[in-house]
Amino acid sequence: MSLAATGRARAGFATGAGLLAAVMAAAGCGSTPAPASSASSRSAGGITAPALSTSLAVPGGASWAVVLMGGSAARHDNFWELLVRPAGSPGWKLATPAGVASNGGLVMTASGPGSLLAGIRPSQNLTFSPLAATTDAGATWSQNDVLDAGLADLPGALASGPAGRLLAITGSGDIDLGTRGGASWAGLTTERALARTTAGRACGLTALTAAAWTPAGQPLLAGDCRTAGTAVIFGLRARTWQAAGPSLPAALRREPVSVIGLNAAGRRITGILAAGAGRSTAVLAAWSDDNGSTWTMSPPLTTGPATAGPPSISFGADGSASLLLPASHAASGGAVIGWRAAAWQSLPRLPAGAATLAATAAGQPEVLAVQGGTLTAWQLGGSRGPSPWTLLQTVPVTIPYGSSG
Amino acid sequence: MPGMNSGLSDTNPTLVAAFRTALLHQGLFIALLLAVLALAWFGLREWMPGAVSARSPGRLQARHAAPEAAARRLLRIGFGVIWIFDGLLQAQPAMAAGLPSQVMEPAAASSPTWVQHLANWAGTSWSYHPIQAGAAAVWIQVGLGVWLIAAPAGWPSRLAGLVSAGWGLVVWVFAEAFGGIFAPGLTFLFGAPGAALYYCAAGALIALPAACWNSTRLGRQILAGLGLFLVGMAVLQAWPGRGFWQGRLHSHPGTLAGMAQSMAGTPQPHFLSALVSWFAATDEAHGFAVNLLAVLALAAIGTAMAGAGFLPGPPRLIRPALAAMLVLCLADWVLIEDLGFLGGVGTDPNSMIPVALIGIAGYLAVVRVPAPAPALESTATESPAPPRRRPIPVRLATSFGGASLRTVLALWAVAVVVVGAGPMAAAQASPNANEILAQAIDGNAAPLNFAAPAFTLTDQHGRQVSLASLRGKVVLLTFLDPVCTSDCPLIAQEFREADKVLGASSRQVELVAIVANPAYRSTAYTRAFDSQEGLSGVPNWLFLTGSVAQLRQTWTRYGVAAQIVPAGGMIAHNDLAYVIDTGGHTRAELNFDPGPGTASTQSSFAVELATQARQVMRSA
Repeated sequence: MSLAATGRARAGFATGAGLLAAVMAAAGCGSTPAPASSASSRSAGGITAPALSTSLAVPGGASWAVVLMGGSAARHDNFWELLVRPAGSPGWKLATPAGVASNGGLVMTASGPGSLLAGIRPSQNLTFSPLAATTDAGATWSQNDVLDAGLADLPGALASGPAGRLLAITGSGDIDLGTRGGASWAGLTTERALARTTAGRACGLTALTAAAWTPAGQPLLAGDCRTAGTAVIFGLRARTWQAAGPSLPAALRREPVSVIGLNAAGRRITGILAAGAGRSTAVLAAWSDDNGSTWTMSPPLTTGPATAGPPSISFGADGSASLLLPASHAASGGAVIGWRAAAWQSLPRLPAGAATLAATAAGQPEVLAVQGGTLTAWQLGGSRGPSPWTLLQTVPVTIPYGSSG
Repeated sequence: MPGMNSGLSDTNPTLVAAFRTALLHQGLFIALLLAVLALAWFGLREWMPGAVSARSPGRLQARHAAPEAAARRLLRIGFGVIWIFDGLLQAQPAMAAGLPSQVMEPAAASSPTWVQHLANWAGTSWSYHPIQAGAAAVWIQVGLGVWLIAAPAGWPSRLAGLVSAGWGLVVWVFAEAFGGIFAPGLTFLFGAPGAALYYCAAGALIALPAACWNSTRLGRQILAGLGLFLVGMAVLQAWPGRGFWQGRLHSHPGTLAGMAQSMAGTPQPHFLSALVSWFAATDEAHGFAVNLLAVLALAAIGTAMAGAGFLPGPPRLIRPALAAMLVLCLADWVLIEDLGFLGGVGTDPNSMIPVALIGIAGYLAVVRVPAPAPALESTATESPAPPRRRPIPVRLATSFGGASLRTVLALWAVAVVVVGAGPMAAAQASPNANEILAQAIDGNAAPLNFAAPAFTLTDQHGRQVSLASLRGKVVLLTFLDPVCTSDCPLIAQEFREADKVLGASSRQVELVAIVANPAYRSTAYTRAFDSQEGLSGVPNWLFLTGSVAQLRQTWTRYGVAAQIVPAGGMIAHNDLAYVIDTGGHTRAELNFDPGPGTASTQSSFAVELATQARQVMRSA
């Protein structure tokens, strides 16, 4: 082999080796991307927000419930429905305001006996939230007002206050103040602004979770804290957002806390707190009857990890609260606690498809369960079968499958 | 990948019919062009024989020019035939509407986001003008193929190679998503690194000066490159963890068996499907052995070819290596690639034929180097000096008449490419989609001529607006539900876009929507909808509402049904649009269901609406 030929062969081999290396690198190229990093242990094991399914009993005796029906794997074929049991009525009936698709969710707030304001969360190409108001327990609706933003995916995203004022938490973290029952809206504050307040920084605010009004007409906003041992409820006093939440018992001061529910019924304000993560997740009730100045706390209810989904929280007209945990939770599945009660009352295993617990005038909880297009109401006790739950009512609901395009 | 394709079925009858018509018309034009060229050529040779023969010393030179290298001729004719075949495949009925969704989208599906964005851009461009794009692909490829075959030497041939390489690159990037080299599962057996890349390589080789083919050096380089490539593919094939070593993986067919099964499901003759299914079953049962065979074959062939390329002296192993490569390519082409072009949207016979051609060309370039051309003897009688100061047309005519038949065919082939590319280039100059998409979804507008029913309603600012108050303007009218989650926002965007398409003419047009929801009908909702759709600042936009009684009366008069659907459903209403002239007469009714609501269909509906408005303006 001549020198020139040797040189060319060497150059060729060098080129070839480079190409081979590139090919071997290509074996790794286009490989399946590394799996997304797992969510933080806080959200993987802790409860930071409730389910949209909920129930609300209002002074005067009416009860309302929001549940998801349809049973389809496709989001646009499941519809959020509003049900009402008017005062003195034995059963539930469908009351979903007609005229707009409810695939995105329904949020409600009671504004008086028989009165309710429902906000429809937008879906698909809709970006704002239609509002519907009723004063006759859902027999008729007034649908003239609109919130020019999408409501947050929280059952407590809307709150009615005195003199027709409203609070709305939007999906973008804005808090809007409504007047004249929702006829006009203006920005009140934002999640970012709250996070920069003294209370917000102390808490390490990560998200807002619920809105309410004190009997005195002061807005309250609950949130999820990153800092351990802080349960944040913001109250607007003298134009400043200040901490207005409960102090945690010593046992929970090392745990991150989220206020996942907040409701005002008359003078009584009830908050639901979730503390901890993993197996040590606990739920507590907090009560105040002096506009949030002081709070008393319930004993904790250990629920276990929130890996099966968020819980449904319901409030009674007397300041009681109910908690429904998705089926695979370690706890029994449901628990109720009365106003300033000494302990949570755990419920026996709930019927299949249980969506939310509804408080009744008699104080006994009802389970509202959903299977496809059928809603069933169950009461504890009086059963002759192996289940402790007695079927009270079956409500067939015509689901408009395919109507959302 | 949203927006990549029109969303219409690839066998939509309107699109298929329009595609066939376009191909027929362009085909007739191309045939006419050939006839004209042929007549002109024959005619000039008959009428100006003296001038033609005097002008054609080139023919004498051509007889004594160096013969084309066998390797080059193989590439030129082989890829010319393949391009023609690919062009004919592009004429399949489903191609015009189906290429973005059936070819581009699947090709890019497993690739990184930036590759998908490129494919999305190309697919969207195609879907805006599917007929022109589909026809362009046919004629460009047929023309390229004929050009390559017809032009054997000189700059026309080299230019054909260059254009072939360029078009191959376009196909490789946009239609093959870079041949899948950025996606997982890269393997020679499935066609990596993309058939079109071989077309590029062949085109580049054809574009080389003829002198490059006069020694064995180029051939050795081809063999060396191909050999290294195959060795690299062998390494990839042997790489663990890619599913090729297992016939079954987690109770599912392995990568190779799964692909073969998938190909067997393509519509094709039963015997072929059975053959591919048999291979899939064999690989499932003996995955390790099959892959081992593939790895060893690729490695051995590649090593032998690389050795022939790099090492001096006669390439002893090249023949058996080439034979083995041809066997491997044939087996892969039939059993795995399943011929590549079946199923209704196949665009080419995949990669095995092109790579085989390149391998053979490399071999020929080493063993059959052309002899150098003999020196010409110049004689005064054979090369007379051309007459001076002849007019340009005469010179052109004598040049054309003196050209060879191949040159005429090559010229015609270039014209075919231009016929293909021209309409698509012109269409791409417009940012708007073709109306054909809207017509494919909803049919044509119904021409009418009667007094439009009157209405007096309230606009989004609370002002009273009647139809009579809009006299003097063309009114584009529709009915929209302000809290609709699907169709109405799309229709609103189509109206908005129609306003832009109209340009300066929009001053003579009023875009009017009437609320189609008896529940959510307040001006708060019309304003919220306008804000959502970016219509608040459009000066000639009106969103009208009124009492339930007023609205129901208007709906009835315009044939609109707005029905409350219970339990959380949207209002059900038909999607219509009307074109009302300046005198208040309804001139057209359009079914305005927005269909899939892709970027291309939205643009198409906007163009349709604007066209209807312009027609009414012209007829006023």
